Amino acid sequence: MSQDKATILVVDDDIDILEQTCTILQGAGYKTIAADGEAEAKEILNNQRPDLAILDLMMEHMDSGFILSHLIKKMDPSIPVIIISAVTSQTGLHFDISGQGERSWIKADAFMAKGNRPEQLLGEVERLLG
Amino acid sequence: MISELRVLIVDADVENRRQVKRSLRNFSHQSTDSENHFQLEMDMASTWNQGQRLLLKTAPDILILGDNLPNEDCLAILKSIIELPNHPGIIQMVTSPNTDQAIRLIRSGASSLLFLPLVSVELQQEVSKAARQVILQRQARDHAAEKKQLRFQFLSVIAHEMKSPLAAVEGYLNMMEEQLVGKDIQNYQQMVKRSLGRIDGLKKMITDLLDLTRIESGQRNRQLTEFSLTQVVNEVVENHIPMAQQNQIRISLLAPETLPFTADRAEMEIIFNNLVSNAIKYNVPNGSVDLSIQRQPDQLLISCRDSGIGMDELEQKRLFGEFVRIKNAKTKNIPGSGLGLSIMRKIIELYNGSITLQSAPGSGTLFQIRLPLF
Repeated sequence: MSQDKATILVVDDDIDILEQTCTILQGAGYKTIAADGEAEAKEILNNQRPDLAILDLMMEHMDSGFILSHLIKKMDPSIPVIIISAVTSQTGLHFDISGQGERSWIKADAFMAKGNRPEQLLGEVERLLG
Repeated sequence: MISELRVLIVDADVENRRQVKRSLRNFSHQSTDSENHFQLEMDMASTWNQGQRLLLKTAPDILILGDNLPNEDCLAILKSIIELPNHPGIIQMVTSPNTDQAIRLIRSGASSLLFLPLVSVELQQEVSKAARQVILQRQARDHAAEKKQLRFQFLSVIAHEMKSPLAAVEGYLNMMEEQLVGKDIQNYQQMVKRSLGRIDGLKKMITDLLDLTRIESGQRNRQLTEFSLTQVVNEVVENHIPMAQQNQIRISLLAPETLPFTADRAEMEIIFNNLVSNAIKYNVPNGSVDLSIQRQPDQLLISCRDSGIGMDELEQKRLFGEFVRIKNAKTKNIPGSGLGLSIMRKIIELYNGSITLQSAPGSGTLFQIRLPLF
């Protein structure tokens, strides 16, 4: 798949993070579909199949990101999923997707903390689409 | 609920052990609130070596200890037991009454003394006494563990709520640093505006958090004075007029011209600021906020009715929790710390008052606060 045509679903209930992520991705030539929560993302996924998804973890529910990731992987296991969140080690909730054990139930391909630099996000996206 | 209390009997005399077991066989302990029924599970040992092993293996709640153990010093045994974390309550059986020895036994850690020959009723009374103590200790331990867990959860949520606006501002700064939308500074005006907005939100959250912890810990210096509540509410309404006009909301106030009330003025301002600002924020364009205060014989009835978006039953149940913000399509762009209502409820409780609400999606919300008159 050619990188500049890839369509990325971005889901975040923080309107600023949603806009930032979309702007960064669009700047790198990706098409974006924005959803501001789990419910809207579910509606979009009924009709569209993104090439990659970037999901916030805590939205309407504490584990909205995992719910959506599970749904996407059920739809097509080859769609890469990045879970992005402000909740990491400081809350005692720490996920290491590199471990097979956690990857099996989290069903995401990468986990990133919010507040990343644009090149870190783009690097991860390129790696997963590549 | 039926729970278990483990009893360990350590005595060299087989007849003493049997008698203790017989006396306690059909005995059970009922907690003072009658909600819990405790049954005894008994283990026995004839030497301190055997007793020590059982002590570590079964972690008994009550130890009934004889003073006739061969080659053992009773006082040394007691001292070694009370050094254990969560050690059992100790009922020391005493063969020959001697005041000095009795004092030494109590000082060394025995919870109570039981003089031989054994009388069943006395033994049962002592076991009941020890059981009450054990139950209190268990409750205290559970309470401490629960408090620790709640504190951790609260801190986790604070960390998350504070990191979110910081991440948003950091994201904008990263985009500006890398000149992601060109070199013209005008392209970044919206990012600067949004960043300032998020910082304002964070500042408000910190203020609310400090208010909340001060109220909860009783650290806030409360100044109870008599003032006119109508005047306070009038000021709050006036302060909110620009926000209401921006959202095309009409505010009305129905209150006695003057209403003397003894309270902490700052606390009353927090209550009315939260009531009015929520009623405006969660309203619809061209909506209304109707505020009224009625003096009733023994209380003040404060009502705030808005024509806003309302809430379903599930959302209403969650509403007064800390950091609870009702997230749905209608509320996603409304800023807030999620602490206002929690603070409001805690202040109302300081006045022995109550707050209730009636609401339905699309039909607005009515908050009613009742404050007793002293």
